[in-house]
Amino acid sequence: MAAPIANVTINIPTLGGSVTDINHAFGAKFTRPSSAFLVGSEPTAGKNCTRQIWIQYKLDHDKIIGVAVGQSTVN
Amino acid sequence: MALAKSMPAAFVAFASVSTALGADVDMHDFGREVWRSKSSEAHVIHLKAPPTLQIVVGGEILELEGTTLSDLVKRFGGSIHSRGDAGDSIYWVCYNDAPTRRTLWFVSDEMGGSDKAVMALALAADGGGGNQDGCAHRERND
Repeated sequence: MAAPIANVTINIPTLGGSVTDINHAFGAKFTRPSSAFLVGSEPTAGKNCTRQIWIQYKLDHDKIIGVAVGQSTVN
Repeated sequence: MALAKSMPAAFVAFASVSTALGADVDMHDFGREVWRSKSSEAHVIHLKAPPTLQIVVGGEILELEGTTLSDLVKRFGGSIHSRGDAGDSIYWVCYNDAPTRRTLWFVSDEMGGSDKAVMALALAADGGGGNQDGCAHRERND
């Protein structure tokens, strides 16, 4: 059974990408951070809840070496 | 303002994995960085709206807060690990890839409910090279 790791794609800059890619994707102006955290929230349609998505990057000399994404919906 | 107070609950829960896992399954450098960034190092941007994420795993779309850890185990193998009790519970499935030296974690917590919906995933390029005990392995490029 094949582990999924070789077949994971995310539609945001990910491993192998660069700070330039992050800045372009999110309109950010990072220069040389060691890590970057982006978070956005919005009300959910038809529900009295807020959906929040966050993205965490670990960077080494402008290169993305770690990426984490998460989502939570709370009242 | 302390950065920790601005972090979403899911992030704090996810970050705690790096300290909760102990010696058997660690998050290595990336996890430690995530943990440290709670208090100081991360550059933070608040987006006007959440980004539209599309995560595809093995040809299928993974829905955060929808796909469960059991779904992943059924499809890809591996096993669900856990630490903590009640509101501090953390659940995860992890996969190592020896050829690329990458590690992938899918994480759930109390907010993932009894079905253990995936609340976060993390992908690291320097996660141990497929040598982490407890993570499913892919040893070859085939």
